[in-house]
Amino acid sequence: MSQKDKFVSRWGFLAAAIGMAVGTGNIWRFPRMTAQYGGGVFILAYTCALFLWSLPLLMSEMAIGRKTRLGPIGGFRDLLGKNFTWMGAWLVSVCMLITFYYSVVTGWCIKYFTLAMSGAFKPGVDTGALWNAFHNNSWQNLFFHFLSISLCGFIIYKGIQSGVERVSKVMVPALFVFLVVAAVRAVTLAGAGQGLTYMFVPIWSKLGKPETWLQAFTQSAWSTGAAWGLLFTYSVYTSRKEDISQNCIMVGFGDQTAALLAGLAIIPTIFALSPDLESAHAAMESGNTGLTFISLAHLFPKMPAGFIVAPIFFLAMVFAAFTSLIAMVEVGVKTLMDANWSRKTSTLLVVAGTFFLGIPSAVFPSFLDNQDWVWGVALLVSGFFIILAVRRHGAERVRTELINPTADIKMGRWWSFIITYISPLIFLGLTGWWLYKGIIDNPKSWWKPFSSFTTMTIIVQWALLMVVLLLVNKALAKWVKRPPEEVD
Amino acid sequence: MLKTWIWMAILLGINWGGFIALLIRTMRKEGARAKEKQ
Repeated sequence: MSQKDKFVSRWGFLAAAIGMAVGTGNIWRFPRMTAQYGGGVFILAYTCALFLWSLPLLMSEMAIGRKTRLGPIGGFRDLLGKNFTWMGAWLVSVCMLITFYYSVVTGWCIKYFTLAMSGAFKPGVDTGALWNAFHNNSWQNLFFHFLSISLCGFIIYKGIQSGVERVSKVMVPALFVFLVVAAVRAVTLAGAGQGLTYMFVPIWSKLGKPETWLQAFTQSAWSTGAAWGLLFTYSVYTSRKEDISQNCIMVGFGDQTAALLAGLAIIPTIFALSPDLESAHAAMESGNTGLTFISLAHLFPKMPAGFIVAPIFFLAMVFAAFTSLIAMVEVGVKTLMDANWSRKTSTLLVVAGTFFLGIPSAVFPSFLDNQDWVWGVALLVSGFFIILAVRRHGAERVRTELINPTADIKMGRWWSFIITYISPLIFLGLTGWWLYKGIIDNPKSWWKPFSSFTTMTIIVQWALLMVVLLLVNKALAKWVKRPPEEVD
Repeated sequence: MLKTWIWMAILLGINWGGFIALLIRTMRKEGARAKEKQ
């Protein structure tokens, strides 16, 4: 590995890792979930999920990546043996399948930033019609998809030091500043108190409802980047002395800090500026894009200084999406580089592949919805594979040999207990619940493989991927080379 | 509204407090390391 393909400083790595974790989900999903599942109760459950699912997985990913100095495919091969290479390939495949449509989503954020800058959100503008016109315009979606993946490719091509680290050091602090500005504006609006009550005061009746916990754990699993293979890949570029536990806890808390800031920016705005409570509730339940691109875009013109806050808010969304997209593309690039391909060729291939394979999501919104459903839930399976890797290698060995020697905050035996016994139960509970939800939400069509949100579409696509990966397992194990010796 | 402020302080205290405490800890550690190098 060249010296240029290493993070220069711990701050650079932390900025990139927090940028990897903070994505659009923090901004458009967390506030909705909080509002829907009991305010403070949801935040408490979400914090529990950080410790019981996300942090053990993030630490495990970083430990394996730092030890093997290879991306997930080579990492699984070298840690567990050749027969398990396909599990690492599952992690990479799921991450890339998400990347294909996440680039489209990043394009939406760029488009809305340009709309906000041009003053398109004027009083009386039908933001629903504006969104629909853009969403159904294939050429515009393709253009912004191309723009986002090209910019991302340029940064990845520059390498870790001159590209990823340099950009993250600017974008991540800026993202936090933008969210603080938007949050301060929102909580100082007349009538914001109602939104704050809605967000923070626990509705205790929701505490005993399984759905609150399941949604909180799912939100944490998706939001922190746990089991995506992202931190796995970034950790390859860190020093062997890098502190795993403290860095991962910072990534987890950094992710939650950003989510809470987004909640403070959005929920009080919705409650203060909506004409009545009913409209506020409707906005909070209008889905990710409905909340952000329709409801908020509609409310910004009513906000004092809204013409300044709107571009700041959408630029925050661009930075959040973009720093996550960079991490995702790097997973693909690192995978090819592990087979001794150059960074230039690998970047070109991954960027071109992402553009072409993202076209169906850019052109057909229902295809994007389907992919989000199938591969979002598949991240839980990725998490399970990491748990299996840790269990097979020995959770105590991972803790005492890989995590604790360089850690400021040492992990106790409880860490091994959680990843050995608690995390697999969480996997079973969450995956089982999502598959069950696919049936009860579509009682008459759950067995249809070509419907957007059915259980059968998940089973068929997962099975296809798994069969392919098992068939090419041996070839994959040979394809990934050994990491070069390095001087730390 | 008092209830809201109390819950806000508790929940933000856990999350933001945790993040800021770790930021300060890392800053001190990295500062000490930089001094050692000099």
